[in-house]
Amino acid sequence: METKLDNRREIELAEGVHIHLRPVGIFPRLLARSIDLTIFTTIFSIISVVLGFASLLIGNEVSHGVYQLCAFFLFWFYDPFFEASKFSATPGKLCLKLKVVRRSGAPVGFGSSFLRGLLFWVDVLPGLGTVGTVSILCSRNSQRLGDMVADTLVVYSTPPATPSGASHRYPATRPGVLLQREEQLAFLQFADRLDTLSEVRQEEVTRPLTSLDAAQNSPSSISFALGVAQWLSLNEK
Amino acid sequence: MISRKQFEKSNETRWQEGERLVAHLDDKGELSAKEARELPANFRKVCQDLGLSGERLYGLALSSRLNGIVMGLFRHLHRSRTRLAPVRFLTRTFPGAFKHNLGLFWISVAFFWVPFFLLAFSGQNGLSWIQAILGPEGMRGMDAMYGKNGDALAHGRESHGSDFMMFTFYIMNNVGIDFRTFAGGIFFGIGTLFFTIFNGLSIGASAGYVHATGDPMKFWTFVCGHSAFELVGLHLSSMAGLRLGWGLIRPGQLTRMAALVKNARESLVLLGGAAVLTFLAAFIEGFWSAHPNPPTLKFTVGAVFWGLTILYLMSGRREWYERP
Repeated sequence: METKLDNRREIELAEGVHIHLRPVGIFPRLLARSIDLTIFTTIFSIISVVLGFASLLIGNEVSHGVYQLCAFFLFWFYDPFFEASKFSATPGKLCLKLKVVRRSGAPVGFGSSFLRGLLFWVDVLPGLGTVGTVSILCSRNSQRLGDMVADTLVVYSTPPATPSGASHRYPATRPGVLLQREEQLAFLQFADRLDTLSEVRQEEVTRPLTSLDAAQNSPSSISFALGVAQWLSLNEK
Repeated sequence: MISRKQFEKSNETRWQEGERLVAHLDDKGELSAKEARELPANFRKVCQDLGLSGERLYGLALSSRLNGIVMGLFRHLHRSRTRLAPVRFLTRTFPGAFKHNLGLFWISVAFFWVPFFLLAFSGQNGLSWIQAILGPEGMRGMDAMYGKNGDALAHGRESHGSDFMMFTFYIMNNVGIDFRTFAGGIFFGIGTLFFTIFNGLSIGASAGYVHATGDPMKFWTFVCGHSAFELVGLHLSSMAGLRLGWGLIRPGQLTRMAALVKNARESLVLLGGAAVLTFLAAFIEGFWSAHPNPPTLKFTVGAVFWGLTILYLMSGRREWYERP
């Protein structure tokens, strides 16, 4: 359950260490796709206009031929070209600070990104991207069909907003009971995320703690939780 | 266990070094020989730090900072610079992959040629089937090109530039068909089979229609030159699609997901070969097929191309195929 609430996915590298990737949900991806679509259309109209003028010089057939060639390459190679580049992202994804990576977190190569580009035309079936949307919503890592086949993920390229390492000073408090690892983690992360939670929410999250004997000595359940977090981080100077 | 402050103090220089290197490499900077030599060891050390900070619950801020450094260094250490090796691909990888999947080739051949011949011979017993497939629009086109008074060579080629235009049209159309045939494989191969049968039906209908009403000589002299590359390209793309679908139907000891990924890698090789052959076919169709050469020359060239294609496809060995 915990993993479902958290958008981080743990991935084990060959080095035996776990890193966290944050797969991107449906809305940023749709937005990125619509930006790409706009750019795509703009390029197309520019090419049409330029070739329209050029046809006076090089003849109608040649310019139509060049147009068809451009259409072919834009259609099939727009995504792979940008995704295999240094940025690992199409311009639309770049705007939203997303990128495409392998499931190992390594950058995608041309092969993988061509594969997911090919299957984009399955993902848009039967219209308006239905297959892809359903697939993103249903899969654990928000992958569309093309992502699954090419073994890639779309992730946020920026690190998550980290708490300021808050300087709430509370006297270290012993919890009075043995804490499991997950429980310790919960205390520490509560302290880390304190600034992002409203008063009411803080109160709500910590209310079950009042049943502990040790909590009776603290003014409130919130200060008790922060005290325990302080105690857990070993009285840092 | 040391506290987070102590941990940070004793390792800060290494992390700053790591962050500097990632930024430097992101800017396409070069590493000095010493830096490059020490990079893997430093990377492992940061990995260790990340593991420790998670294990010791040093908090989100430190973990995500280390996570960023590890991901950055990993990205550069494991970067694959794809070397384009077209010669190796065409002489070894692709023929090897073809031999490796020979069974699928025969399936796609059967699913193309049976509908083809059914439709082509149905023309002798009335045109209703052919009319249903081609439609009025298609039949008018066939009449214009291969009818008794039709002109196959002039169709869509009023001036010199049109060879090029037709070439690009064939690329756009035929390679697009290949790619779509492949992508249909994701539906357990059904999409691929549909496109393969459909192609067989419509090409067979065209042949049958010309035989029944038009001038077959015009038709065969036009198509014989590029037919080898184009049809084999079609077969290859349906092979690739079937390979993709087969991973879903019969994943073996893998999960369906893993089988899909593995088969996709393999099918991409086949699709690459299909694209090359179809490109070649478009080139020949644009610049050779429509030129008025004597029929004997055209048939000879067509036969030579078929022979070359068959020899090429037979040249591979199963063991050349490298599992990606």
